[in-house]
Amino acid sequence: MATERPDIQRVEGRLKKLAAKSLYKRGNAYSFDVDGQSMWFLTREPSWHPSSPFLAEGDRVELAVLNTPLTPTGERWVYALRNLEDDTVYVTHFAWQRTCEPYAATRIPPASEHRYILALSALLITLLVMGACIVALTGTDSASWFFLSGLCIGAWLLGTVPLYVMRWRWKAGRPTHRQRVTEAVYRCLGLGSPLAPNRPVRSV
Amino acid sequence: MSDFMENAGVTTPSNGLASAKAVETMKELIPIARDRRARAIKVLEGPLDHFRVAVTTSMEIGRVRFALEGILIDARLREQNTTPETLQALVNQRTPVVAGVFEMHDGTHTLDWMLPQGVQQPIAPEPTSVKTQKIRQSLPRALRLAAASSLIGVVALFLALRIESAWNLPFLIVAALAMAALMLSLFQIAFSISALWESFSRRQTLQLMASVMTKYCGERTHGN
Repeated sequence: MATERPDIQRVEGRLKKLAAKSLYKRGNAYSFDVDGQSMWFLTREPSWHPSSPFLAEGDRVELAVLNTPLTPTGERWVYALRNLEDDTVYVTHFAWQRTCEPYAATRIPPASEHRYILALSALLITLLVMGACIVALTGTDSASWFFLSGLCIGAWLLGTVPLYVMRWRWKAGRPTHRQRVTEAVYRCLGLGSPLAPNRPVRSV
Repeated sequence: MSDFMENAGVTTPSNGLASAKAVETMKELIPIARDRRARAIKVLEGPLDHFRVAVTTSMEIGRVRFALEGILIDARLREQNTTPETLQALVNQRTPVVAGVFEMHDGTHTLDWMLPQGVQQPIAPEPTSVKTQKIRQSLPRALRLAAASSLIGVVALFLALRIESAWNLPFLIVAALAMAALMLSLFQIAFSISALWESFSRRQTLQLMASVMTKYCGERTHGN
């Protein structure tokens, strides 16, 4: 059964009562009011980091927001923000990493799979090298190292194959539910396709 | 540019303000051959426009953005030992400034120094030599703290494991405190080494920017 797509609303206005908060392991959040509605905008990087969104009080913005308040106090979740002051566009992905709700967009930015695969490969290679060193120093049976290698290859395949299959599906026109949500967000702000946006987009 | 680059936050600036006109009126443009962050040094002149102060968790950082000759420039004013209020005053009075900026590889621009008209002393970061000197002075202290705390931690942990009565608790507490001190000092050492490497690996670019600043601000304004 197809999951219902979330109601994504386009909101325009000026940022009021803007505040940045650190959520520690859950990233960072900007809270603000636009057009009389309270919003939450979650990002990975701390607000003082050069790659985090540059938001100032009173900035004119366009937002793609989930048209359902998710908190008891009625704040709405921001999918994407275009700052009209400097025409930069930010799309959230980090915010959806720990949720499986039907309104969640993709956990990682479109076409960024190889970044995660490189990190996983580096981690597993380090693990294998450390294992080889321990085997060489302690003189233990090399069978355990081969077992570790098998585990690492298994982990690599488990990490890599789903990422590339999902990317291939998206490119082939058969997106997953999360990918369809991301497409809807891009469409809401007129950014074109997530795989080939018509303007630079910053993933946060 | 690949779609990955555009989607991974490493994008060309989309402000649309940088124009051919800006290049024509620019005082100086110096391409940088080999630097992992910057690809050019630009010297710009004019009044500051469109000044904005970003809201951050720590406002002391002074993350600001403004336009100069139509180019959007980012700055973290704590590095320049100034405040957003100082720049806001320049904006309000429409004071012309001369500024040295780095054009980064991702197309964004970062402020290094700025000389408002009629002012002798530029708004500039600490000279690299002073920064390096401070780090070199603090590094031995951090190393000593790391060595002492690791030694105390190991001895306290050893004693805590050897003593089988309730008296092992104070030693466990001492070991935990020593480990916390060790972690702090290791962080400090890591940051110091990273800062020293930054200064060393980018020394040619930083020296070039320092010489450009000297040219516009005079000999006594920096110590590189």
